[in-house]
Amino acid sequence: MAEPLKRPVLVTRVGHVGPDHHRFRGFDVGAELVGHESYWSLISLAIGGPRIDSELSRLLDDLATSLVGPDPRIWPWKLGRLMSAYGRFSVGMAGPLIMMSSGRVGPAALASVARFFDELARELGAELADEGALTRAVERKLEQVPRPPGFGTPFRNQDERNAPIIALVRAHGRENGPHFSLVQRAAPIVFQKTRLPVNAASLVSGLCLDLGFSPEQIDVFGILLLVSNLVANSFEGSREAPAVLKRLPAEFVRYVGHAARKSPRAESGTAP
Amino acid sequence: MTERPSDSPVRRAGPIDVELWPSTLAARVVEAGPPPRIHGYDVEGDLARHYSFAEITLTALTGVAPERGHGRAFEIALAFLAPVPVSEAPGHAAGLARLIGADASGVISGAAMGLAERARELVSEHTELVAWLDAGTGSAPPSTQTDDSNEANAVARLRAALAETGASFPLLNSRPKLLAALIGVLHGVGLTDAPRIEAALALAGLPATLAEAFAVKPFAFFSYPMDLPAFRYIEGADG
Repeated sequence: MAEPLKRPVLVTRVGHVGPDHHRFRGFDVGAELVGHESYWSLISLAIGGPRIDSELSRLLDDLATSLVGPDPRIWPWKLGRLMSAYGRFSVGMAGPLIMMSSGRVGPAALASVARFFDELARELGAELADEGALTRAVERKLEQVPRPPGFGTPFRNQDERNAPIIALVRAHGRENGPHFSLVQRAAPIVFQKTRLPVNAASLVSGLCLDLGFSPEQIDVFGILLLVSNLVANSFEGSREAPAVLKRLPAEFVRYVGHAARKSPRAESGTAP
Repeated sequence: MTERPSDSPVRRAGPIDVELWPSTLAARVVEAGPPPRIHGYDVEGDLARHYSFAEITLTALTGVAPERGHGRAFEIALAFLAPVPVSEAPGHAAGLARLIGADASGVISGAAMGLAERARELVSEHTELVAWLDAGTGSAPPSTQTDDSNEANAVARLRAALAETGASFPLLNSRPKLLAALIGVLHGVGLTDAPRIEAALALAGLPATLAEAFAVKPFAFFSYPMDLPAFRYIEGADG
């Protein structure tokens, strides 16, 4: 008789379904979490972070609210409109998230911004508070990355979300966090060298680093803090499923490709 | 932030733990090999030598290596279905993703997802046709017919291309719209259910859609008509 196969085993710390309960990150969901957790705390637990308290949850709520800007013409949300044009909300959500998973625009950009400032802070180390060291470190960074993530505001001189974010961070007493401060101190140096103003992704990344989250974990927040914009556009888009997004009228397309021509086989009259 | 609890081991077995599950994942089409096989056919020593990629695709979708006429008809149908214009959502979305810096994987995934959605809608609009093709009797559904000259000319070109195959497709004996005619061809070569017809429609559109997207210059933001279509914001409850 053949020996039974030894299945490969993967360790997970995420969850297990028991006979009458679910365990999640070390907790019994029904007995220990229901009635005690905010949605943000669940997310933090989901990504290996700690349970977070109501003050921090309110901060994240405020942060998510400051990032609401669902104009359908903004590129990531336009993708949501296009992908939901055939009537399915889920595709309107999933498509843009997949397409932007490496982009410099949209939710996934937050992780690359967080990595930029995390690396900058680590490089400075004990000299984090030294302005001269900061200037030299930023200049070195800009030699490697002339257009750093978290800087630049398409079609406008500054990111209109920055002031509300700085105000709410101050209201929550977190304006002196080392990374949030670093972002604001680095911003004028980057602007002087590149003419690129700091954008909201830098401020959000700095705050999330100060909250103890890693760049990989901040990747998750990038999506969740901005998701209401995608939900709004994918939901309305899927309900309306407008014909004009399924197919733009021909007069709005301008062909700029190769001129009409025959294939070599058509020229010679040979069969495929 | 509050402290995390120490990890506690799971001891109580749940429904997934106690059920007797198969110990292996079933492979129903591709045998890894060597040599790799699709539905039993040696890919490297047989299919690659005697069949085109389109015919291998048809083999994968139907389970049987096609006879020459059907294989060629399938290729012709895919060719007719290949040009999905950028005005349609899949190409528009893939190009926009490329514009804002999506990598190839993101562009390919998005294009495939958009084409699958498009295929789903197109096939759902032809449910009556597929039922008629399955039944094989009676007149073609009126919804598949047209007097439009552009459509008629395109179908005439389809008939001319298919003439060499020797294969016959009943719908072409009427005055079908082009897409209906092409679905008729797909059904005739063995793609007899909606999922397989959708698969062929999505596959056919993928190369040109990707080419269109990869032709977009990343970050050339001013090349894109941001206000097309124009969105006009109004306030108040949903209609």
